[in-house]
Amino acid sequence: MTDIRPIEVPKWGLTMEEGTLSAWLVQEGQAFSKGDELCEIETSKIANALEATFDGVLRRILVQPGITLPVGALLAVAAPASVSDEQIDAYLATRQGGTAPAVPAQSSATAPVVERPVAVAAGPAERTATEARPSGAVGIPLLLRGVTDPDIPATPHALRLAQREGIDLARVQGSGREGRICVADIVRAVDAAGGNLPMREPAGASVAGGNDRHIAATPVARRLATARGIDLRQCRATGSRGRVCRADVEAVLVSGSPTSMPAADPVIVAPSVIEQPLSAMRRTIAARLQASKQSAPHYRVSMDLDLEALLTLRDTLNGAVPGLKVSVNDMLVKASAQALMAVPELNVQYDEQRQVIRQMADADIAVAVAIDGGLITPIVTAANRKSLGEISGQIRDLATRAKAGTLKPAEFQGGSFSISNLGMYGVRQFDAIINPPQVAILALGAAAEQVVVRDGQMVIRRQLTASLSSDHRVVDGALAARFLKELQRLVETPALLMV
Amino acid sequence: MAIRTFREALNEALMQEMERDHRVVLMGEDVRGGSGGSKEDVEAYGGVLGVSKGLWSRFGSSRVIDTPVTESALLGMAAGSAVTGLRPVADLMFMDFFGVSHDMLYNQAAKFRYMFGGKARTPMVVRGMIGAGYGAGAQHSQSPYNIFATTPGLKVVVPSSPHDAKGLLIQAIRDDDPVVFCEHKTLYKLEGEVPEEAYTIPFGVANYTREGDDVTIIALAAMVHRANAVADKLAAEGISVEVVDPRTISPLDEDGILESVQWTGRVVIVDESAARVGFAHDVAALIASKGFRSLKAPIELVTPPHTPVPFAPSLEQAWLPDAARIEAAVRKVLEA
Amino acid sequence: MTLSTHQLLRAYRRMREIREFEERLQVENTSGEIPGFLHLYTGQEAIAVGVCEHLSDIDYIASTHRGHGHCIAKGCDLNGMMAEIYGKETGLCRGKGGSMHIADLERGMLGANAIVGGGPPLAVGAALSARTLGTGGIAVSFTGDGGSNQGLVFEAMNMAVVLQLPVVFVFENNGYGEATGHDYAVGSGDIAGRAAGFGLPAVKIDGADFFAVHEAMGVAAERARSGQGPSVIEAVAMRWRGHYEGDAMLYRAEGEVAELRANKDPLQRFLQRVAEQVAGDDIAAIDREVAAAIDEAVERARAANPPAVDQLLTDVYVSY
Repeated sequence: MTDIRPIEVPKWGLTMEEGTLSAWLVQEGQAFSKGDELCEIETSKIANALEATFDGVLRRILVQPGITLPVGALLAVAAPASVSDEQIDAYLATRQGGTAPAVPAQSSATAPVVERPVAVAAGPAERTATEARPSGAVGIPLLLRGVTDPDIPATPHALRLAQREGIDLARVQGSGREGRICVADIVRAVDAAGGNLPMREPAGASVAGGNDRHIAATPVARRLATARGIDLRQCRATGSRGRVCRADVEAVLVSGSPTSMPAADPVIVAPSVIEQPLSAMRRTIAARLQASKQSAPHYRVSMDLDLEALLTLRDTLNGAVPGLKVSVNDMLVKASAQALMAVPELNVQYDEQRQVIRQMADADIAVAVAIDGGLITPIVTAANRKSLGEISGQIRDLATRAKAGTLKPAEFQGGSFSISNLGMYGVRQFDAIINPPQVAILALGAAAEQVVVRDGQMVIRRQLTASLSSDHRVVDGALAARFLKELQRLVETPALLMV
Repeated sequence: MAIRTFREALNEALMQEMERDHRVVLMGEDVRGGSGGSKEDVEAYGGVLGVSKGLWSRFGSSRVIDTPVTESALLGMAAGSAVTGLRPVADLMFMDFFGVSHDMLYNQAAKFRYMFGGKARTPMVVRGMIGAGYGAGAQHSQSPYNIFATTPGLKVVVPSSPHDAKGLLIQAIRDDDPVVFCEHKTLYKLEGEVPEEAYTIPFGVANYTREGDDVTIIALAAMVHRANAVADKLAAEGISVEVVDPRTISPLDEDGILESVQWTGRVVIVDESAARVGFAHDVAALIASKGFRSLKAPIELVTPPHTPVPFAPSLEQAWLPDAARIEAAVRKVLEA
Repeated sequence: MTLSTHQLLRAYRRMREIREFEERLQVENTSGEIPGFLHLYTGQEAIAVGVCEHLSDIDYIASTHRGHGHCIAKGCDLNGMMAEIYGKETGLCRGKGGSMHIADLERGMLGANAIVGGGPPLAVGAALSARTLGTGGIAVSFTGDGGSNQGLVFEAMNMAVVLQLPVVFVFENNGYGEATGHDYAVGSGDIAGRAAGFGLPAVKIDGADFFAVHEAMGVAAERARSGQGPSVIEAVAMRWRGHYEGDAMLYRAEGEVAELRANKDPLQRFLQRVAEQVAGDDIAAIDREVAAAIDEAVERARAANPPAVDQLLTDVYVSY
């Protein structure tokens, strides 16, 4: 057995599930020593360099910067110079067709990851994958990959397919006249080598993992929606025969759908200055939050919440229920929902135009989620009526789909209350901006050990600072205070969350 | 690379092949022109529209043969000489004249190889003009390539550009089977880039003149250019049209056609040859039987009506599939 | 031109082969084993042989639907011919042509032709090839009296004259075009005379007389080979059989065929003419050998296999 060593995405920390390769620090063909930094990888929490655990020569880079892969996925192959390319090909072939670069293996989690645009030029056979893939993910086995010579006899679509997917047609057997290669030949070759090449879906999935295939749309509209990452379900349908037409898709783009991708490319205006046009999402956020801050008279009411009992309950629950991973934030969502039932005057929407306050029956709590290039607030509806487990699961699902850009409008528009948590960054306290038509937003800081005075003694308790920003047009200070008091009561006696 | 007209490209193909192979002989009415006239030693025509200009001057009467107006004898002589060692190119002038010559192609040349158990080889080319648009009238404006294509043993070539014309004619001359080579008369002055050296284009390989995602238009000869114009116009609206030019209808590039339909799911076939039992219908049947599952809309055919070609320009233009009808067909398949 | 004994015997053998071949087919056809149509040449043997004795493998002939005689005279293999007529894979055309399309290009036989009048233009083409390539060969077409009226035959003659090609147009006037008499269908009543109007020498001879045919063809072949252009020979010899086997010949008067057999048999006339020069024993030996050869041809044809079904799709094109 030759000394071929894989270089894979590492697992840094218990919760890490995937990483994004941001840069190679070693070139193909270069030798390295144990301890050398091979590449940089970013996760949602950190950016770090992957160190070599052995001496070797980097023989084959399989993943280009910008691509996100799950833990354990193959990034590159190291082997001594004496190992031939063919042996490396064979090794790669045995590592399953599904480990083709730039394709995330389907994990048990939900939707596939959207590939981010490759900003820098990469090596040969690169693909600038700016489009989301349909959920039957494409996997081209490594022994078919390469740059195709356009003079090889092939049908026009076979050539386009080869160029699009980085397939070397010299490695495909042609069945046409005088060995001419057709699309079916390529599919056969990919299948035979253990890969996957789904044929173009006639209806076309427009967003990665999205289920808007059944939405009737004109071909132009569908293609535009796919290119811009827009779910057809969020578009009006004003085209002929009840179809979404191009104008409908453009309307969503202009109105700034939060899930649309960045519109234009950055422009280098000076050696160190790059202009980046605002994305639609950024424009939306800018407009809405500016309007909110300017029109709603924000004021802050803060309270420190003692978390000891809550944390004990959390650990008890997570330890006792297999697969349950309730977080402090989940519990605060539950507590807030219950507090809103006790202080219903805060569980309202303010219709400024009609000068009406809309009393909501349930607490629809929006949870702020940071996503690529911005933020979004998916809603846990009727959180007051959901168990902790349900809330926890739903928040995780919403957050995942928020990052994938597959939320439905109803899932992030509306709501009666919002919670924003910057605790994971170590922030002690901050003031959030209200999301209209809501009238308040709860900002949570980090849980930290504090020295407090109890019964004349100094004790160390784990606490966090909760700051409620309220709209004084609708919410008076006493109301805000009552809410926080109730919230504190529930948090510090979490058994109350059971009734 | 040079800029040549369609006519010049054909002329070059003939010149280069006749230079290369002494067995290539051009025969037809007035391929030289001037035989037996009162003025001696003149190449009066070089073919009715000048495609064979210069050939008689270069190769003489033994290789460039003017024949009397006897199309049966012309094609018969071509067939008989092809099966006995020559590589004749018979200029039928207008393909409409196949009526007075067809037995020699239909029953003789096309069938020699098969009837004689594989022991005959008939490397002949029959060239002639097709197409309406010049006010040439009902008997000089037809495109009967569907009739040739239905005959087993014949190959049928219908080029649309100077580049394709030269490469395909050279291929036809070098091909060992009988080839019917249809030249659209309105394309003769079309200019395009043509390699200066001799080259071949294989039969049975379609050319995509436009690549696109939304609709496929399949067209031949002059209709390819109309399809291109429609595609370019619709591109401005964001409608992405793929134009497929089969170039040879026998053999037909089935993969090239079906893959485009598989990609777009919507197809318009434009063909000026026939309102019934034509090329468009043959391709439609192919798509309906082998590409049905890819179709998102019924196949649209744009053909002339089932009438002879009228003379008056106002009627002839209405007879031909024009850009407006092609565009309407494209929009229709997008609606469906 | 005087023929040697050897040449006379060879000519007789050929004519006897044709006679026996056709008469045997007449019998075998009733067994039902032979597919399709048969058009028998019986009674016209002297024309085919008289003409083809001047030809070799480099010369081409184009024949008619009544082509067995031309085939044999041109030197095609009897076994191959019989097998082809039976539709077997060992046939000259591998069973894909049949009686009306028997061909052997290597022997210069461009094929029997089911299209009446189809031969002359092809012969013109073969003549063009010969001249252009300088092979020294000539081409001969055989056409019937029915076919002589076809437009494309006139075109072919005109073309041959215009281009001065080395081709001989032989018109076999066997009295009938299908069921229509020559007197009716040939408007001018004179095939050779009409052909002469196209500007080429045309003679009319007795087609049942081998020597008349041989002599006329000698002149025409010499003209063609020396570059003097095309000629026409009209050879008159009634056919003994119907247009096709199964034809009741209702268009023929009673006793017409019997009279031909008795008094106009080309083989008998030949034998009478050569009696001085040729030994009876040699003739008898030829008769025996030919009979045996025909027997063998029939047996072999019967025993051979039909073409396999995969042959259906082969040889439509050289390449596709």
